[in-house]
Amino acid sequence: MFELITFFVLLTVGYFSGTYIEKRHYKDIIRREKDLANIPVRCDKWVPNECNKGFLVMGSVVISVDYFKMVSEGVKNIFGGRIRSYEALLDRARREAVLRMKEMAKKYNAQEVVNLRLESARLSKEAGGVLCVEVFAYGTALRSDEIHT
Amino acid sequence: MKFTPKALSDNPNVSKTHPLKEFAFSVGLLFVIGGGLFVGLGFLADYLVERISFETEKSLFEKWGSSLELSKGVVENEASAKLQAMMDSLVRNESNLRYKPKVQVVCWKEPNAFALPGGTIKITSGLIRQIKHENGLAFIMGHEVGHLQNRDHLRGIGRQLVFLLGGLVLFGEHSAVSAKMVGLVSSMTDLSFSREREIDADNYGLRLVKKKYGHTKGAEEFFVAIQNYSKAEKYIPSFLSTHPSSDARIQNIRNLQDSNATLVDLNLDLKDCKE
Repeated sequence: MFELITFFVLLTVGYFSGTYIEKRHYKDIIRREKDLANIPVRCDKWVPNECNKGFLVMGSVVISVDYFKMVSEGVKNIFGGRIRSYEALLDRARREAVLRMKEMAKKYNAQEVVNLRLESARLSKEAGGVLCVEVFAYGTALRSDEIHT
Repeated sequence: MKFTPKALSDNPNVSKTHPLKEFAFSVGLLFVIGGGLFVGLGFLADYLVERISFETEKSLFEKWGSSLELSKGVVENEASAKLQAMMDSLVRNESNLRYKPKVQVVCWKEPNAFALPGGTIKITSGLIRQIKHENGLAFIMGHEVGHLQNRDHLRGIGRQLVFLLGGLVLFGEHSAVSAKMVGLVSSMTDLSFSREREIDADNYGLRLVKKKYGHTKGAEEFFVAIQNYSKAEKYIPSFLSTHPSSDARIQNIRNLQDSNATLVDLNLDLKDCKE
């Protein structure tokens, strides 16, 4: 009986806190993406002629699931199909990692970032435990410095 | 001219369904399928249990019964002999009884009575002290004989086993959480099954009492006595308890009664019992 109550309390708290945090994070992401829109990011390796300096830039983020997401995924595991809550989680993590990478590039006064690569890892203690997802974004930031002749 | 990427108005990477709707749909489907499966497996378990002969049951559980603490505190005295005589007369003309039930007194303060596989019924001294008339005790004995006759304990174990196997097949080591929810459904269906069995055993006991005494007055004596003893029962909702509430059982018994009948006094000497 007690276990049942604990389960439902965790579920409710997880749902409301998770939803609130997600909404707030998305607002933040959209604002920063607008601010950093002047630094384009590409996955290819083409370097424009005027760029003569390159720096490694990285951005990484670790985001945790809440109890509701975990239960939802567990049940969905039986029937199959897209898990909307996890899609949102990974989308947020990817965008946040790319944004942090861009912020690092901005510190270098870079013009653009090329050769973007993304890597993600799932961290958990045991199968079925509450887990975190880590996304790591890295690329080369390009800058054209004045060449002193 | 420098390229500046434009922010997209919507996000193609995230599905548009609301997470609660998605969750409710999956859970609903799970409960429907799970419920259906458990009902089906319940029938299967019942079918299998009826195929186990009484002799097999007795030999399987003899060793188990002796290893439990239940063998402690049993007294063989005049009280036990009198109870056994009562039991014998209660089941005298039961033609489909495949064994001879043995009744023993256990010196425990807590009022309780249980039937062990193999045909032994143990009644605690705590229970006997709550009862003043033979009719009440005869009903309890009859109730326990009913459980044995219906193989209720075997059904319970059989059902749990079948559900456990079903759960293992479906989930294995995956997702402890969905297994927990499935466990929820199974325990709910188990509890309602158990309550049904208790009412069946009550009716069996009533039938035996009516046959012996000609009426069923006084059969509810024990339940009336323990209504004061355990107030906690009122706080457990009925769908979560293994037994129907005492009120329900008393009502069930009284509905079949003739109020003009007389009760037989119970005089049992329990001085050998040191609880």
